[in-house]
Amino acid sequence: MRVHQVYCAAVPGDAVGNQMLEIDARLRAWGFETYVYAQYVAPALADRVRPDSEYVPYLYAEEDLLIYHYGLYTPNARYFQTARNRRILIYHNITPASYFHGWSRELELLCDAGRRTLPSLATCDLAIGVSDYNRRELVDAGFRKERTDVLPLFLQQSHLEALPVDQDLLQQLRAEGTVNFLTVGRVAPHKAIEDVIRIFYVYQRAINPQSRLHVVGPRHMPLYAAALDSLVADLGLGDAVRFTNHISSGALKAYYQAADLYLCASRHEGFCAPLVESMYFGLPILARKEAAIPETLGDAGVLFTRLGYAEVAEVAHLLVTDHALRSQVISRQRERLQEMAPSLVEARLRGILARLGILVPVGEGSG
Amino acid sequence: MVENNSPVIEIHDPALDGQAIAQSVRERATQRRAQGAQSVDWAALVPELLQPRIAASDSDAQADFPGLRESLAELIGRSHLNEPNFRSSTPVLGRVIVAVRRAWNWMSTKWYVRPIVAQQSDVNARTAHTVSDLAQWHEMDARRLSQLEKRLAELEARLARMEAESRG
Repeated sequence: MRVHQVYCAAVPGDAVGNQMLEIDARLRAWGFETYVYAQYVAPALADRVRPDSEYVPYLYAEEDLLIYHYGLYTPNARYFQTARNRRILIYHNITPASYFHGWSRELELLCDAGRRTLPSLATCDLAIGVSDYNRRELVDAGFRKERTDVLPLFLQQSHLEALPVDQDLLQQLRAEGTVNFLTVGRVAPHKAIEDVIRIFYVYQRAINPQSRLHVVGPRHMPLYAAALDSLVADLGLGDAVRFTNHISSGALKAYYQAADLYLCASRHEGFCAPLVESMYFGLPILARKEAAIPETLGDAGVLFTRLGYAEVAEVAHLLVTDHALRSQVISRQRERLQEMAPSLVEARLRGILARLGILVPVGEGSG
Repeated sequence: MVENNSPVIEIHDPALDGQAIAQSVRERATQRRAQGAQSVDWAALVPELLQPRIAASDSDAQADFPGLRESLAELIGRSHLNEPNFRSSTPVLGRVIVAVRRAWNWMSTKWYVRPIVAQQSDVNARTAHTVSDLAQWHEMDARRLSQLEKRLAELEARLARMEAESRG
């Protein structure tokens, strides 16, 4: 049986692209003939992902299965609307367009179009959220509740283990002898990087001047990036806040390993993969209680409900210095990580296929 | 201003006394503030919502290029090419004409044309993306220029005043 997966852009390190490839590896190991497509394929993935135009000949193959990953408006949504295959939608969530107002007209338009298009995808056989938060959004958008399900992201544990760490960077970060706060992800308004900077500012000024904040992620939005630079300058933080822009996977691993605390102030997340990566790297998490973040954390980590800067900075300090608290938080995070183990996600994937009458023999190896 | 008394910190791990930790954090924060965390400029932390540093109203940039944003939205929206549906207004024979066209398209042209349509859509999308980025950079530069012009005017006025004072 053929299974096609389609998404807008296949870019190394992207959580959605990773999930697509993880699913592909499982399906292939289970004996399916699989194809992965995207509208934009980064050169590094050209040997694994095809241009989405190559899917077109299969549009009317009724026995095929199409899995469409949806996280931003892309013209290939039309394929999903018109395909005669059995169809599964995997909804990775679309950031509300209002977050981009005044910062990026293009993203504002694409997110708006993405959310407006979502109800028209409801005729599929099954719609999956990568979190229950996302699944509930699908139901709110008009999808039939009984045809929805949840499939969390596969943690790329073996990939993270195998990654060679950037040793030079790791040594350099550790040699500075500072307490390192870390936040990872696109530098975008819904991630509220300004709040991370302000919390760090209070911590740095009131509690520990020997500290740094590393903002790791691409700076695609010039207006927003410029506003953050101005904020850093206005607060007099100078070199204490460092933006990395794009970095290699080995460098990312070094940042995780050198960090003392993961700080997330995001206002909108459909899952938030860096939280799971932080759990993997044994990094205590302090995160805003918003969107899917509490669901991803379960009862692990520490949440803040609003910007009481002094209290948030104080609990950050405790998470760094109170060894008993730190150990317990990390320990509970590791347990939470086990609850999201790839084998469990794999079992859910089998269950989802079974709902469509597609049976995978139990005991069939995974990718 | 209404004071928000809901807890700032939440810990749900059953192995930890979340309420006690939150209480301790609250006390430590109050204490530290009282002891003079005066190096923190609390006023600099408001407003919470970050706004584009150079507000649109500060600039005539958009007036220089009226409709630029609308054109961009149009460009992005139209970047994907759609296949036409066959229709015919010819009475009676119209259905036959449509069926023949569909059949011919199914048999021959769609295999060739669809990949080209997809390729062109891809090029259009990338072009729209690039133009959008360039427009945003332009907008930012134009706003900076506008601010510099205002600053220059202020300095010139100040210089004129100083010259007048030195003469008088």
